[in-house]
Formats: sequence, C-alpha cells, structure tokens
Amino acid sequence: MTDMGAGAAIHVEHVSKTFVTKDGTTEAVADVSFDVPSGSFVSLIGPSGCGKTTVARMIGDLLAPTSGEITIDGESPSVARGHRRIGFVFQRPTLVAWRSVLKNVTLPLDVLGWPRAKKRERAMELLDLVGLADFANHRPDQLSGGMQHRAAIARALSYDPGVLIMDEPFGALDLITRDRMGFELLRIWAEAKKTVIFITHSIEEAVLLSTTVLAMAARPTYVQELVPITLERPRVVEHRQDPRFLQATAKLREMLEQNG
Amino acid sequence: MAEHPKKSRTLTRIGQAVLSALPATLFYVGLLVVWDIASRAGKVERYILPGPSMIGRSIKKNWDLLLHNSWVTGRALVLGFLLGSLIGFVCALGIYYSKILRKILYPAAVFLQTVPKVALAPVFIIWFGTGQKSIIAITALICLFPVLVNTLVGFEGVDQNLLEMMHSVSASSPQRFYYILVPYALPSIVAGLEVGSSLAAVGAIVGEFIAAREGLGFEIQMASSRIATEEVFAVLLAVSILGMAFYYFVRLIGRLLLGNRQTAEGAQASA
Repeated sequence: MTDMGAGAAIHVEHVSKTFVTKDGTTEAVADVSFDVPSGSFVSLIGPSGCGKTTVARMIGDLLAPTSGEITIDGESPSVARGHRRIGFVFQRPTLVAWRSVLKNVTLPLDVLGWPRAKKRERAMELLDLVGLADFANHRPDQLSGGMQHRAAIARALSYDPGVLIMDEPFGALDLITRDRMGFELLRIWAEAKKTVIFITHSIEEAVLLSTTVLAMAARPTYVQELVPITLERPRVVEHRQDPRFLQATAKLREMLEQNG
Repeated sequence: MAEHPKKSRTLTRIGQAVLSALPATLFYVGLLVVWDIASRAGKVERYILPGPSMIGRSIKKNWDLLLHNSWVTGRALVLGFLLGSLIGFVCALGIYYSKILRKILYPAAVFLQTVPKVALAPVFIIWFGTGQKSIIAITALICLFPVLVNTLVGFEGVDQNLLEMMHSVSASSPQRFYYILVPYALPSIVAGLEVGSSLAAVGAIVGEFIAAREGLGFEIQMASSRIATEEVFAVLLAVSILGMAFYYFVRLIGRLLLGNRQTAEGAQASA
C-alpha cells in the first residue's frame, strides 16, 4: 500500500564527541562503534546523561562528531540529510497548533515544494498507515497523546527517509498508552521497512521492540554490549513472559547497574 | 415548532446577560443622576465638576470641533502605532537573528523600557518640530517596546525540536521564518500589538499637549486654560471612545488572525 523506499544501513566507527564549555571540555562520547543493518530496529539504552542522545544527534546531523566516521548508506550524515534520508521523532509530538493533523503531516512536504495534490495523497496514505485517517481535519489538541505521537511519526515518514531517529518518543506517555504505542510502532515499522534508531530508558521496552539493543556505559559513552534479541516477529505482549525476554532484560539490567 | 426551544433559550440567555449587568448599570445611572442633581443644585462648583447635562450640551456645541480633532488625533494614533509596531517587529527580528544586533539593540531596549517615554517628548519636539511628526514619533516610541518584547518572546519560545525537524528537510531561513517562526510567535505578536494599541492614545495625547495646534490633546489644554471644564470632560469622553475603539479594532484583527488559537498570556507592557 504505502509506497516506501528501503531502510538505510548505518555505520558508526570510532566516533567521539567532546563538548567545549566555559568550565572546560567534557568528553560526552568516547569511541563508539556499531553497525545498524538496513531495516533493523536498534535501541540505544543507558543511564540518563550517558550520551545516547548525543550519538543519535550525530547520526541525524544535528551535531558533528569530534572524531570518527558515521555513514548512512555510505553517505556522511550531512549528505544523507541533504538527500532527506533522516527523519526525527521527538519526546514530545511537537505538532503545530495552527495546522490540521493532515497539514502537520504535509509540513515537511511544504518545505520541499511538493505539488498540493501529491502532498495530500501522501499525507492520507501515512495517516491511514498510523490509523488516523478519520482525524485528518482535526486540530492536534483534539487528539489524545498517543494519537499525537502517531501523527508525529506520520510527519517524520512523509518524505520517506531511510532512517527514523526516535529520541525517547513515548517517554511522556502513561504506561498503558506507551505499551500500545510500542506495538503500533512495530506494525508501522514492519510496513514502512525503515531503519529505526530508538532511544529509551526502559529496558523492557527496548527488548520487546528491538532487533538489537545497544547498552551504553555512562560518561564518556562507549558501547558496552550489543545484545541481539532473538524473539520472533511479530512481537506480542506474551513475549514479556518468554525466557529469552527475561534473560535479555536481566542481563541488560545487571550491566546498567554495574555502571550506574 | 422546532425553532421555539432555541428561541426561548436565546431569550433566556439575553435575560441572564441583562440581569448580570443590572447592578453595574443601576450603579452608574444612579451616579450620573446624583451627580447631575448635585451639580444643578449648586452643591458642586461647575468649573470643578460640571454635571453630565452640561457636558452633554458642551458636546453638542463643540460637535464639529470634536469631530475634527478626533480625526487629527486618530490619524496620529494610527500612524504612530503602525510605525512603532513596524520598528518594534524589525528590531525583534534583528535581535533574534543577529548576535551583534542583539548586543547593540538590547541595552537600548532595556533603556527604553525603564525610561518614562513621555519624558522624551520635549526632545522629540526639538528634533521633529511642533506638529504631526513629533506626535507620531512619540506615539511610535510608546508602541514600539511592547511589540518588540512580545515578538522576541514569541520567537525565542519556538520549539527547538520543530527547528530540528526543519533542519532535517534542509529548510531555508525564509522557510523556517514563514512556516514556523511567525505562526509560532503569532499569539505573542498579537498580544504585543494589543498592548501597543492600548498605549497609543497616551502617546498621541501627550504629544498634543506639548507640540500641537490641533487635536484632542490640544483642545483639552485650550479648554482647561479657559477653565471650560465641561469642554475638558467632553474631550476626555472623545479620547476614551477613540482609544477604546482603536484597541478593540486591533484586538478584533488579532482574533481574526489567530482563529481559534489562544492568545499569549502575560504580555509585556511598559508606558
């Protein structure tokens, strides 16, 4: 149904980031390397302030690494951004109040100068994908928190980026909505076939959703462990009781506690 | 038949509105009556506090002059407001976009905020001479600050994530401005314009006090020098109607611009 390009493969090699502030320099990220295969769902997890957001922002070309190399399908982040390969979903949905849900989804396309009919068609496809087709003409403040997040995901997918960078996207939602949104995201991901970089605090959420979980150690950040999650797809709530789920969460918790 | 419940509901609502306005109406009508009786009975000297009927007669007598002066003051008020708002908006843009301009303009803005702008009026008369130019300049100066501050507050409150989203589609600076900054800041800008419009009359009247040969401010001075207190009151009535009409006009435009969005609260004011 929805016409989508393939997910991009991401390659992060010996990347570090040092911030220079008034009080001197802070090494936020030290020597991080990992590979994200095309179309996979990778979670970055670690204690607060461990620099996982910094890593994601470097992949998304919102920050430049101090050293090392990042490539997205062989291109540097800034070239990839120029080719509209990167989409963002933030902790808050950040929909704009003065536009309808449909017009929020078309906002990036307005910037890209798409013709009106094509914009509308594309936005309706995506609203259909995220289950908001009936709410196209509603104002964002008429939607629930979960629905606003789905609209934000549709907006990020509007220009068909290869990578979706999601920075604690459901952190502000209540637990039940958060769980539902996770599965909803997996359904969208399975259809859109994008590569997802997912930042979270929640070990359970990371294990339940991801192909691979990257556990990061705190300041300066390095990848402490790469945990492949072997649970079959589609993931269901019952996976929470699966021995493999419990084993993976226990392992990650132990690792993060050692570092916390 | 289906119309009836609706009609009666409307009537009930009007009835409730009348009922809730009743105490205030009674109070002020009563006050006017007592005031007029006291004035007619000679309990209050006419040159100190003329009665409402005297003021009414003065309005009738000076009708053409009042209309002419309202036009003169109204013109200065509107032109001063437009000029001040424009300068305020442009300064806010400069401060938002340029670090150097921020360093240059911010101290000036703070100075403007703290100095009573009315005190600058005599300087303006030296610069622009007596007449319309000075009055427009004083009005502009008074309107400038609230528009500047509120526009800047609006720009600086823009969600960083939205700008990052615009970055991910490589939006140009004009595109960011058009699609995000202006609509995001609009409630603040409208609030600033409302404050500015409520202050515009102050600027115009003060200007006319010291630099005019016509206008409502000039007429107040002339009438008070003749101790024609009833005319002073007549002009005051014209000034308040003019100021209020302008304020509500700007407010209406603002509401139309915002549609069903909320206006910004806590607008910054300074006269």
